[in-house]
Amino acid sequence: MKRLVSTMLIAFLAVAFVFAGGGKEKSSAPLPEFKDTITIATGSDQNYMDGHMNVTNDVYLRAVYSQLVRRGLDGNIEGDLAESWSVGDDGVTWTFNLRHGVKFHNGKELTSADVVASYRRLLDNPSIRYSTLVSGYIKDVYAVDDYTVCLVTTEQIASLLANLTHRSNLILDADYIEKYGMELGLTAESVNGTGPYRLAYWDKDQEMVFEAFEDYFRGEVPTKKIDILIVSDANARLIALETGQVDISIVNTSEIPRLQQTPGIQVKMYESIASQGLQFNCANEYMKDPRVRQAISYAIDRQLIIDTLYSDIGEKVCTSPVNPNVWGYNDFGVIQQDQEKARALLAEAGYPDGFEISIMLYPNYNKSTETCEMIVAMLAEVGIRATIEVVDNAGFNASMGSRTYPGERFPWAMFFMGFGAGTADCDEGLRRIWTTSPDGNNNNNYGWYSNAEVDRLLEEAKAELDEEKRLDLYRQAEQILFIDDPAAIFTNDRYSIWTMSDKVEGFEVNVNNAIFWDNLRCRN
Amino acid sequence: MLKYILRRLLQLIPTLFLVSVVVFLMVRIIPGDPITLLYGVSEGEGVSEETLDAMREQYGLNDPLIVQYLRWITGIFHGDLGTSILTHKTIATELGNRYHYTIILAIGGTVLGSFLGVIAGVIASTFHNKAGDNIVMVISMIAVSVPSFFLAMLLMLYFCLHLGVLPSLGMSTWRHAILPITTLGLGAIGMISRTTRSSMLDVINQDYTRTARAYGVSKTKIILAYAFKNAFIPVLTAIGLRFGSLLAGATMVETIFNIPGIGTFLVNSVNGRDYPAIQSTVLVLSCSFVIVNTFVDILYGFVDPRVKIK
Repeated sequence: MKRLVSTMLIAFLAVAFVFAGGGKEKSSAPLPEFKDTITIATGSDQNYMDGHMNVTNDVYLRAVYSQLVRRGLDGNIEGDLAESWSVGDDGVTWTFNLRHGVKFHNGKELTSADVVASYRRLLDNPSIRYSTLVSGYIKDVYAVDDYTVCLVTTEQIASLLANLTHRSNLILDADYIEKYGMELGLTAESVNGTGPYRLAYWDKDQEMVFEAFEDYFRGEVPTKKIDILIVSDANARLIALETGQVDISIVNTSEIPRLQQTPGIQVKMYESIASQGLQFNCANEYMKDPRVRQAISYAIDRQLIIDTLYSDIGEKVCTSPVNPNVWGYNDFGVIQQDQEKARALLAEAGYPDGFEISIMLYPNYNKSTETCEMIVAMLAEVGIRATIEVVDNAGFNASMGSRTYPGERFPWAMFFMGFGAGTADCDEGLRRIWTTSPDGNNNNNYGWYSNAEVDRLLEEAKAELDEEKRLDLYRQAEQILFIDDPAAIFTNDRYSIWTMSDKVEGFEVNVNNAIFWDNLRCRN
Repeated sequence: MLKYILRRLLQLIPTLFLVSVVVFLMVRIIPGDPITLLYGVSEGEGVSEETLDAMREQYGLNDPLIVQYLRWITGIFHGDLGTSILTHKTIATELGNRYHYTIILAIGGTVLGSFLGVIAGVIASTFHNKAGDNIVMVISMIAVSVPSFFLAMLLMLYFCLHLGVLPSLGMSTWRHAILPITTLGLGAIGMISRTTRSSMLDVINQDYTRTARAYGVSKTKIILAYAFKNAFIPVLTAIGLRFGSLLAGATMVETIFNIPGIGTFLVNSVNGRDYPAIQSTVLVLSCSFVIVNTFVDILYGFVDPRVKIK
C-alpha cells in the first residue's frame, strides 16, 4: 500500500515537472532586434471601436481611426486628415483641405464624402452617443470638392478646433456607415479606418489584435502587431508584466512605488486633462444652499488627503475646477481647511448641529474609497454625519443616466466623480458640465448645479475669439465654481500612468491618454 | 431503465422553469440596465433620456415583463438563446466558443482532485487516528478552507514569478492549463478526501471486514479489493457534485487566469447587465448541472447493486 501510494505521488510529481519545463525551447537562430508583436494588458475593453459611440477612453481609438485635426503630443492642435484649414469672414464657415491619397484599411481612398457622411451620421441620428454633443456646435457639413469640406458652426465657436479633436470626430468610412448602421464598431469586421493599425480580431472582453496598416498615410508603424489582452484581475496583470508575458500593463497605483524600484520595469506618468473629486447634488435639500457647500468645502483638508493617498504617484491637489492642462485654466491655489469658517457657515445656513447625508461612491476611481472615508471623517468634525453608499458600474451609470429633475432616483447629497475635458478646452471642461440648459435638464450637469453668472460667463466665453478676454471670462467662472458657489470638492489632478518592460521604446501618449504608435517598439 | 431516465429528465422541466423565472426577474431587479451601460458615462459626459429610451425600445426592453419573458422562452424552444447586447453575437456562438475551456478545466480539476483526494482519503482511513491520518486531514482541511483565488495567486507567484516556468494568462497551450487545473483540483481534494475517509471507516468497521481479516486476508487486499469498492459510492456523489459545479463555471479561476470560459463570460455579462446573455447562460449552466447530477444518479444503479432501478 505504502509503495503504491508513493509510486503514484512520484509519478504525479514527475509528470508535473516535465509539464512545467516542457515549454522552454532553445533556438539557435539570432533574434531580430525588435519584437514583431507588443502585448498590452488592460483592465477593461472598449464598449465600441467607433469614436461616435465610445465612452470607454481614447487609448486605442486612434490606432484605427484618424480625424480632421488632432491633439498632438505637445498638447497643441495639429492637422491629421486635414492639411490646412481656414475660417470664413462670417466666423462660422470653416473650410478644411484634406490630405490626398489617404487610404482606408480596405484600400478605399478617403474623400470628403467620408467626412460628410461621418458628420451627417452625428447630426441626423439622435441614437448616436455624441449626437447632442456635436450638434451643439456644428449645424451643417458639405463637400466643396473631393478634398475640401466645409463645416458650418451653430454660432461663432472659439474652441472649434479643440472640439474637433474629441473622439466623437473620428472619421468613418461612408460605405461602412451605410452598411453597418448602429452595429458599426461592435465587431472587427465592421471597423474600417485610416489609422496606423487595422483591427484584425476582436473577442469582446478578452482580446483585441491590431495589425500594422502598410498604407498608413504617415508611413507604416514599426511594430507589426499589437495584442491587447483584457485582464480584469489587477494582480494577474501585474504578474503578467513582471513575468514578461505582456510588455505593457496598467496596474493598481499602489504597486507603482515598488515597480519603480523593480529592475526591468519602467513606470511612465503623463499629464492628463482629468481631475476627480466629490460632486454636490445641488437638488438635495441641504446642498441647495451655497453656504452649506462652502462649509463642506472649508471642512476638507485637501492637502492632507493628497499627501496621505496620492503622494506615492505624485498627483497634486486641484487648484481650479479644471486640470492645468486644459486651455482656460487659472490657478487659485489650494483651498485651505478652515473648520471655524465651516461651522460658522453651517450655523448661518440654519444647521448649527449639522445634518445627515449619504454619499454615492463608484469605487473604480483611483483611491476614491479612501478619499471618501477621509472626507467623511473631516465632515464629522464640523458636525455633518455622512455615510458612504457604494454602487457598481451599472448602478452608477443608471443613476447618472436618469436625468429627471430633481432626481427621485438620485437620493445622494454628494457623489464621487471624474472631471475631464476631452477637448482640453474649458468650453468642454466647464460649459458642458456646469451650465444650466433652458429646460433645466442639462444631461452632463449631473449635480443640477445652477448659477446664472456662470451660465452667462461661459456662454460669452464660448464665442469670444480674443484669447485674453476669453481666459479672463473663464477666470471669473472658475472663481465661482471653485470657491464662491462651489460645484464640487475638487480633490486631485490625475496622471495617466503606464507600466512597461524597460525594453519598450518610443511609448508616447497625449493629454487624452491616446497612444501615439509612430515610434513604439520593443526590444527582444 | 429507459423509463427511469425519461422520468428523471421530465423532472428537470419544473426545475429549469423555476430557474428561468428567477434569473429573468433577478437581472431586472438589480440596479442598472444594459443600455445605460452601453451609452455610459465618461468623465462627466451624459446622454439624453430620449436617446436611451430609443435604444431600449429597439432592444424590446420597454415591453411588459411577461412579453419579454415569453419572447425569450419561445426563442429557446426554437433553439435561439438570443443575442448578446454587449457583443452583438448570438449567445449560442459565445457559449460555443467558450464551453470547451470550461469543460477542460472541469474535467482536469475533477480528475486531479478525485485522484489525489481518494488517495488521501484511503491513506487517512488506513492510518485511522494515527499521525498519517492527522497530517492528511489537516492538509485537506487547509485545502477546503483556502479560497481558490488566493490559491491561484500563490501558485502564480511561485510558478510564474519565482520559478518562471509556467505562464499565467489565457489558455492557448496545454502549459497554460496546468495552474488553473491544479488550483481547481487542490480545491476539490478537501471534500473528496473527507468523504472517502469517512466512507472507508464505515466499511472497515463492518463485521465482514473483520471476518476477512480473521480469515487472514492481507490488509492491503481488504482495503483495495473489498473496502474501497463499497466505500466508493458516496465518493462518486461527491465527485459528481464537484464536476457539476466546476462545469457551472469556475468563475474565480477563469477570471484570475484570464481564461475565456463560461465563468468569465457570465461575469462580463453581469457587469454589463447583458440581460439576454445572463439569462441564457445561467439556464444553460443549470441545465448542465442538473444533467450531470441525473447522470450520477443513473450511474449509481450500475455501481451499487442495492440501488436497483425499477
